[in-house]
Amino acid sequence: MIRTVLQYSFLGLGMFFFASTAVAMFRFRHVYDRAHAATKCLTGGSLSILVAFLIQGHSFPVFLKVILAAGFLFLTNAVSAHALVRAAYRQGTSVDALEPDELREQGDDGFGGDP
Amino acid sequence: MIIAALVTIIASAMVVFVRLALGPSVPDRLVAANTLGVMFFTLIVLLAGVFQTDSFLDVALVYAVLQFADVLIMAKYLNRSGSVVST
Repeated sequence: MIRTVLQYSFLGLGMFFFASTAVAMFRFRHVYDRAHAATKCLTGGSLSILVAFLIQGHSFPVFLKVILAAGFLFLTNAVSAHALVRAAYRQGTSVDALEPDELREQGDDGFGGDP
Repeated sequence: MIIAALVTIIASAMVVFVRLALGPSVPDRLVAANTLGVMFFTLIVLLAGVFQTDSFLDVALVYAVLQFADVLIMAKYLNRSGSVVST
């Protein structure tokens, strides 16, 4: 009983996060906002659904694989989004839309050196 | 409930695919592609539960690794290409 309630709660949370990611792809204006949504919402939704899958109760190898996949996703999604956004900043994609461009205010052009 | 989750993921993926098709700039498309990849990864894990097939989890794991490498290579290429890729 409690297991079913927990499983459905996590599943609903993951569905909500995924739907909000889809909404954010259209409500946000430029690539940096979209990457923000694609990092946080998506990781949270995916991990919620994986937890819901784990609560079902599986054998130990399945448990281990899903834990491994969840940890890998948790680590790599942020890394890949960071790499993408850095590449976008270096290319100058919609840099004008960044109202407080803190990286430029600090004298950093995104290449790690002085502009 | 599982079916509702599957339908939600597929609907979200279709909406994100519209952003991938429209996306004004290349990094927009890449972010949308990354999002699609994570959504399909979650879909594969859920399908492993639906079909009671454990080998789907191996597919999901390899898919996650390949997708990570893919996005990193794309970002690296975008870094090097300078003004070749239109923004």
